[in-house]
Amino acid sequence: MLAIEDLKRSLGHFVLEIPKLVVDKGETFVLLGPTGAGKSSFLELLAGFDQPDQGRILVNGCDVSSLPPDQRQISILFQEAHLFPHLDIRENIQYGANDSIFFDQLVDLLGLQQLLSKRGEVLSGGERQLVALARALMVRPRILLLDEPFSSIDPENRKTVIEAFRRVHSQLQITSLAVTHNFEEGLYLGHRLGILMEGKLVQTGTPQEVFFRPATPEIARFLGAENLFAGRFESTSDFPHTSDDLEAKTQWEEGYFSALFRTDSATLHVLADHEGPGYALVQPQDITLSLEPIRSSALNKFRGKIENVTLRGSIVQVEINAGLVFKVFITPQSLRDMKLDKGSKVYLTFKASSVKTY
Amino acid sequence: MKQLTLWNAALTALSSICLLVVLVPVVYLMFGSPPSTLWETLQDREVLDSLGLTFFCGFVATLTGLLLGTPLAYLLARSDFRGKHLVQGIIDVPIVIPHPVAGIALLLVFANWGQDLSPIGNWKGIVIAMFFVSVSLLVNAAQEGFRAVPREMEWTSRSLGRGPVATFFRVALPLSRQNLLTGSIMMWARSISEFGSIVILVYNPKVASVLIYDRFASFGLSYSLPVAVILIWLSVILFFLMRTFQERNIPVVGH
Repeated sequence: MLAIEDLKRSLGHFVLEIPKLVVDKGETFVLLGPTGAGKSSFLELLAGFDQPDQGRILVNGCDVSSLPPDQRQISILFQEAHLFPHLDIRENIQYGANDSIFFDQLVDLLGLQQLLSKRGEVLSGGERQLVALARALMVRPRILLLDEPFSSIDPENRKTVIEAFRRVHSQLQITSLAVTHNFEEGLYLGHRLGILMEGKLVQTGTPQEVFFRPATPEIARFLGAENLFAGRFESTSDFPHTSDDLEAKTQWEEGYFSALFRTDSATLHVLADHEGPGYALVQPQDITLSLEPIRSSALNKFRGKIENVTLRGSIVQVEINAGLVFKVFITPQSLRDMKLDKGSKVYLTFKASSVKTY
Repeated sequence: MKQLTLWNAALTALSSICLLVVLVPVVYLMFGSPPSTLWETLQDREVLDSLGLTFFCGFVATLTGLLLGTPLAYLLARSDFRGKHLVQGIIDVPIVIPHPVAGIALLLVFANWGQDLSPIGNWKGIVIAMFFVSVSLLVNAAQEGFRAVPREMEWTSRSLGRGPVATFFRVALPLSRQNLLTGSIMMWARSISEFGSIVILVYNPKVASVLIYDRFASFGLSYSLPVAVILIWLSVILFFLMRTFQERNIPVVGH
């Protein structure tokens, strides 16, 4: 288990501050953040390449803050594999430890048999990273740190490497902390996510919590959230929520009240915790798109016109102008079935409680 | 296209002039004495002793440079400390001062040392003078080598349980050996060609450059030329051999 307590490091004007963070045994915690947020600096502190100004780093309950890197039992995998070019593949993997049984197990798990006879410089980026992973795991680290480990691998091989990592991770029950700016990687790898912005850990939670309920508009923007609108909240008393809207009920108990969110071009029904200026986030997956009005208890119902249809991988993004321009994701099959195209008239429906307000 | 051709022609012409300025005197010198005279000179005990002393002292100076300059280069390449630029400047001082001045500086340092310890007038003084004027070449080449080793590679070694000493000897040093070899060759070559500081600190016993100067001043060109020719042939052959050895041992630093 990895625990951080009141960690602080000043680097000129930049201050990295992590008051508390716990990564449980066998868990993969992924730290997402924009460039310059302090992700790599944080890993350097954990690995012992830099010293914190204050705070403690606990590995399985032992404070390792003052130990040199070679005594922390924390392995690190960088963006580049950094294989030792003067050593062959086997020597690279066995650089830190020479346990032939575990070596065979790792080679098996990661599928490295074919690579052992090759030289480092002829391996592909993905293969090199797998060898680096085996090398990092060979010393049986208590914690594995990953610094954007898959971002330099070509997309074709990335999936294979990530799969191998997940396989070995679940088999060996490694506690790991990864940093990345790649959301897809974060979602795929992390049991939990954290968002690091300007040196501060601003949100932690499951991938669903972080991506679907970002804590601040800044986080929402960083995560590329669609349908984030600026406007004003006004409390309203005529808020006919149905009693089976459990989410709304929970939010009321947390101090939220019925409100109208007004922009220049539209008004939304929402739950808000303050009046005055603010933001409303409507996640595309919470919006129901239909050709006819649908009967539902949802308060937000709009009629709009499709302005744009864009294929985004295996889904289709539809932009609908309904006063506000909403982005909605549907499957290509739905697009065909509903015969949607630019200019089509459609209906949008979503609950007040599904709107995240700031 | 025409412009490109003219540009290439200009580049070639200017480069050729530069090369000729260096090459012509060297080729003239290499073939400046008939083989019979060279053979006769090679029988001369004073010449043989002088050449032996020159190469021996150059070797000892280079070895000392490797021993003392490598840690300094590593420190400069890997650490940030107050006064780092000053240290770098100090290392480069011998490059910018005239070598007789270096000789006088060394003479001042050792002038009051006792007879037994003093390097003035013996081979130790030659080694010190050679070291003084040439160690910066080794330190700078080694620094470049250490800087070329990704810091993450050393960090990886540390995270795999290897301490700083093991990391230095198992990662940094092997991966910088090409630069260390280049630096050593440069230092050695610079050492055996040194004259200005040695002639002031140690006139006797004579290294090759001092012997050539002494014979030129006392007996003229015809007496000093064969020694110069022998020195340049030996230097070129050794330099070529070392370069060949070096190219066969280039490690590949990659990701």
